Amino acid sequence: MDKGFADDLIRLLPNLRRFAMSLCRRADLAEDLTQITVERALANHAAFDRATRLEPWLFRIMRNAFIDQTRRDRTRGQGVDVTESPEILPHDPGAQLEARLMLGRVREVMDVLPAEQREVLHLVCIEELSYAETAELLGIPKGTVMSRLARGRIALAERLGIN
Amino acid sequence: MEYSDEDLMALADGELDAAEAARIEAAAKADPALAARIAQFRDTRAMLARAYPLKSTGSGEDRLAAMIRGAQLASGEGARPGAAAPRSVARPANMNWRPAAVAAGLALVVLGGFWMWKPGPDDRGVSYAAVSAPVAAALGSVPSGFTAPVDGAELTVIASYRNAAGELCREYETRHDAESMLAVACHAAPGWENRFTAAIEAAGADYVPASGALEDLDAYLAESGAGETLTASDEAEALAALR
Repeated sequence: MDKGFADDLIRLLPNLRRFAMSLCRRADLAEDLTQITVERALANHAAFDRATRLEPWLFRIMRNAFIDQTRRDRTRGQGVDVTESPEILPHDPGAQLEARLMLGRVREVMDVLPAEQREVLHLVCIEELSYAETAELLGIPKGTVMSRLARGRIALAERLGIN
Repeated sequence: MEYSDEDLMALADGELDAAEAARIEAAAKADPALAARIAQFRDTRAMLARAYPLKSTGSGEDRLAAMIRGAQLASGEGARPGAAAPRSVARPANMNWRPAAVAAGLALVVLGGFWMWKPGPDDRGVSYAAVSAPVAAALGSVPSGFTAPVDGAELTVIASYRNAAGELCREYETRHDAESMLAVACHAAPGWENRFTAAIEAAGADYVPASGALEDLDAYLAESGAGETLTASDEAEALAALR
């Protein structure tokens, strides 16, 4: 394993943790999922084509690990980590507070969107994968990615009242 | 001309080719409703990006970063992770946990050379067995919790710590059919030396240290002033410093 691979993997740990959080919704489960992903990435590093981007490869490993986990663990409920909930802030805030409130509302809406919309929103808008990379990662047609993405963003805009 | 939501979204996301993008942008200049739809896609994307900033671990220690660095260092040996249950968790190498320290200078040798325990490093004149070159190479690179093939056997490093003399020491096991050994080697001026060794018996698929061997290990650790088990990142640094 060359140093570049290890460097890139370490550099992407925050991104992995962020995606894991979006999948697992709980910080402790997200950290476990991130660790499993890192272990599998290390074990399979020889299979990674260095000519391609590392991000889609890693997110696919993580997503597959998550699906394996939930398949094996159907009875585990989706607990919400209280520390990650959006803060309750007072009404009539100033402009700065208004901006923070808005971002909190973005997260609230994301939490209630269908999982398949939230997933494409995260990969494209937050992790900045292309439509093609996202389609390949999820194993679905590019058109499906685009329609889920569009529906999700329109829903977000409506609920946030930005039109 | 009616543009689909997906078209406008692709424009906002930079997923259209230049010609098509220019066409729609021109149309949007004359059509405020179209411009508003495009802006909506740009805005939602920007807000999503801002609502989920990347977080760094904050404290210096990132366990996973250390795991990755360790795997990179070990990859030359073909090491693989997770083969050993990290016993250091159950038996931390710290003084508080120890049974009463054994009197200095006491050496115990079992008849038949089955296992040996030699006095601590401040006992001059005692020569320790230098480890073989492949074992030295493994001790110099394999992170704790990992296993590497060495000399036809499997070497698993359990934990690292520093002893009272400040030497880097590593507890490890080697397993090979009839011969299996638990040992502690410390890195001194001439190189890695075995300071403690004990035999392990095979019990079915699991290996367990011979009765008394763990207590003897604990006594050795106490006698030699073993410090806290090193964290993964401290260990990686200590190993790198040996090169």
